[in-house]
Amino acid sequence: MQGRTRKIASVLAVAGVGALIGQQGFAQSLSTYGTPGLIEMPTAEVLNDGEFGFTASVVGPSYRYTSVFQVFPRVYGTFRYSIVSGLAAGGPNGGNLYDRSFDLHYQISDESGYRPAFAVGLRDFLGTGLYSSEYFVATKSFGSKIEVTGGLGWGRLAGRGSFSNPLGILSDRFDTRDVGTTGLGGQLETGKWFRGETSVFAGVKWHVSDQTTLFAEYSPDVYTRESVNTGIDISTPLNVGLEYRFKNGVNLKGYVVGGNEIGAQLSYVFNPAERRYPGGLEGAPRSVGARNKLAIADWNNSAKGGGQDAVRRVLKAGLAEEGLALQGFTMGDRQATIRIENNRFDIEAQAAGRAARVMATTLPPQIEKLTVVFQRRGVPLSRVVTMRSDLEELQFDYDGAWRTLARAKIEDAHDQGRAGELDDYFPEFDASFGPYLATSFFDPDSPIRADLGAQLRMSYRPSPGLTFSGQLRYPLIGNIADSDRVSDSKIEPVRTNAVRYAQESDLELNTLTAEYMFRPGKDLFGRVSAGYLESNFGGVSAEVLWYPVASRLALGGEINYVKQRDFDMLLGFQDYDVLTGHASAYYDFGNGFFGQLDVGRYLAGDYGATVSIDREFNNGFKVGGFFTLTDVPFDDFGEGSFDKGLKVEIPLSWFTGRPSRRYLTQTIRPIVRDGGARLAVANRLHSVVREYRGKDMRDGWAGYLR
Amino acid sequence: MIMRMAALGLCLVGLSACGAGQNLFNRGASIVLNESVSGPAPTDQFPPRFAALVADRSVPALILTVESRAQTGRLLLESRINGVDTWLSSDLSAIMLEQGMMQGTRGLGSELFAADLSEPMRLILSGQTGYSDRLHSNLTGNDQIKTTTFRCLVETKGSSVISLEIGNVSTRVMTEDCKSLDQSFQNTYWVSKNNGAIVQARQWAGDELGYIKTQSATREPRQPAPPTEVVLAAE
Repeated sequence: MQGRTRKIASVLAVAGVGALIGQQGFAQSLSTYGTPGLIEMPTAEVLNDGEFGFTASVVGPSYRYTSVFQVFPRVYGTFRYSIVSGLAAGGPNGGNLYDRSFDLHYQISDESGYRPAFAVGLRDFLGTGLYSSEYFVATKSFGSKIEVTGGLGWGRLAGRGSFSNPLGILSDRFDTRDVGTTGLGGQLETGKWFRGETSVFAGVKWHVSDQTTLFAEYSPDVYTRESVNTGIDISTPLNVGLEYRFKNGVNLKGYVVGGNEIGAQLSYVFNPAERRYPGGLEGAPRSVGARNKLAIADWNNSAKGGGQDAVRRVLKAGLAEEGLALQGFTMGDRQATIRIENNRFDIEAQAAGRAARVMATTLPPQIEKLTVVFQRRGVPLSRVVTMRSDLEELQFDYDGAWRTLARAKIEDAHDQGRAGELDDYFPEFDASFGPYLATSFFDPDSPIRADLGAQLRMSYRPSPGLTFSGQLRYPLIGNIADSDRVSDSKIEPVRTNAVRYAQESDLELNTLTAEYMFRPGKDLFGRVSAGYLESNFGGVSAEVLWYPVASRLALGGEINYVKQRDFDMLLGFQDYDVLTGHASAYYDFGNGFFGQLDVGRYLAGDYGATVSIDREFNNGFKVGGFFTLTDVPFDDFGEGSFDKGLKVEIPLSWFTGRPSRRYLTQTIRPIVRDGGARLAVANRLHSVVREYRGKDMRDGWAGYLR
Repeated sequence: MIMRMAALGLCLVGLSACGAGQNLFNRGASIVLNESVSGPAPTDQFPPRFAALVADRSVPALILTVESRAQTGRLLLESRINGVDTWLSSDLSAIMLEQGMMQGTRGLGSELFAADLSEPMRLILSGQTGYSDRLHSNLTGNDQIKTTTFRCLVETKGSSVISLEIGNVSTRVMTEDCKSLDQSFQNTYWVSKNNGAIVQARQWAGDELGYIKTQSATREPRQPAPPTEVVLAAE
């Protein structure tokens, strides 16, 4: 009964997500491992480049939740969270096993003519090895309806009918497979790859109709570990399945594994490059032109009280309508400059276009050169210069995006000064009060823990760049503090005491800081922050960033002296203090990939480097991965051996079709330990500056006339 | 516990996407003024930008129908610049027409960024048959411009008297059959014999949005005259 409730619940969850996203995906079948395949066996197939897939499935005692991402046209990676109920009777967590694992698949060649497609893959190649296996697979289609797959499997895929490893011809070391996990898990299990006994697997997929697909496969997986305690019954190698594809793109699959185990799976594949509402649902921009009408407008007519002040009022109102806050305005004989903060558009070039249009529909007719300066936290970052006549000429041009970009100038704004600053703009005060949701993943006792509570944020900015801000939280309901995990760290417990912080605090003072952001010179940005910088540490942080406006490369340096805060998350400190800091390089490869390298000293005093690679879609959807290696030995680091994780960032506009500065971001670490931990100081410069520099502005330029 | 996970997952997605997404389904060109048969239009319920047009009784109106969404609305002319008319809806979405031919859409969800119509326009307005090229730029879901060239055959399809709010109009019916490598559509235009203007048209706005119908209209809804013969091009 319990099992059925669970199944229904997981089905509902995935169906809910699928229905909400509700786009037509590509008709690709995913296996219970979350990869393109049959029922449990892989095929030599891939998703379309950049596609994302999710599955939830149940096979006997095993529940698998997966996400797959086609990183390159030939490479996909999978992250899987599995629960095997009752795997170890009498063991911890009620005998349930919670397991996180990763797969990697490389498509060697696609099908062509008489030759099938070939692929090679690693399953569970750095986890604790429950699903550790490797395969070499070929898939050939016959007509448009039938696809036949055959392959060789190692590890778990060599449980039945195995024979000695053909790779043994190459070297004797292929004959034996390492057993157990290397160290504390999380390392590349190269001692297992393609080693030990080998088995054959095979299967066939029949597309009965556009909606329906039948599967049959020969699986050498005998569920050795599961069969001891869970009662799973694998009496035949033959698995059969039937998949139905709903109109909204969700796939429902039912199957029988091993002759007796009836299971079900939901899967959904979508392409992040396809917004739900291409072009967006926001209102049309105003057409520009008709300068003769502007010449007689009240605000431009000195006889009717017009003049610079009146113009500024009209500009300010027009910009506010577009979600742009006017902070400064100057006007000469032929040119005018506005300084604005963009509070609405996630595509910054669109904000530039809207701002220029407000100018062109307000300013007196003789003004020709329109300069829009983007500021954040009162600090000028970049400016976009447009000729008014270009905007008028190209606004309806079918090639207007490219042509306006060719004629516009994107410049550094370090020399902007404070001329024309609106008298009433500073001091700026902002406060928000609302709910918050904090999550904690992969606690061994409970895969997801969460707290829901009330949050108060306040900020006060007396002058450009200088900000005093704070955040308070009061958890109302939740179970993060219920965890009984205590830090077992062999190094300084800088992060593993998270549960103690949750348990011993009531009202949380998350941050309380003074921050000064400034422009030390051309292409340079500076930040100094002091106070309670994050939930666990307080102190002083200083950063400098070099980022030429047209550059793909940015370089930065940061140094912090911080002290560990008391567990009550109020004003006190503990004894541990540390000098930590990094030198960072950021590079936009220009083909949708973005890389970051940070080298330096981490919170626990360990030295090392972090490598991050993001795949970024032009609409702002980002998927990335990172890992950190430091001088903390893998054995001292603890479970997982080193810090690593995945990151997803989705603009809210991707869902709603409405421009918004809000993003849904989630970083998933299989486990949080103390090695390779960085200070979580707010407003690191690169993230503040990047979207207003030339590369990002140009990438978003299709939105300039939108 | 999995229940909890599931519920939480739903909440998360719900918080972010549900609320905002809900009323979006009903969006597009919304119905404007169609209900208010008598009395002054309640301008205060509109955004200021649209209310200004509503208040000005001299601003012309246009009836727009998005066939795939079965939505009809009354749009008002906001500007005429460089020969392009921008017709604004009460939700601030817009359609751009050049001599009645669709030059662009804004905020309808499937963006026709802009089009170059100079070749077919010459044929359609002058009532000639012939081949021409048109260019469409679309703003894609990945926020990039994709430009497509269509090769089009413009043909005259006889005469028709059509019934519009502005009265019965004697028109010449023109069709335009367009093909690109992977898309095709057929636009139909009803060109007034009195003044040579396009008074009604059925035009393709992209794969997702499909066909959009535009009709010259009066400011206040009027009982349409008894329908006379209306020629619709074959699908």
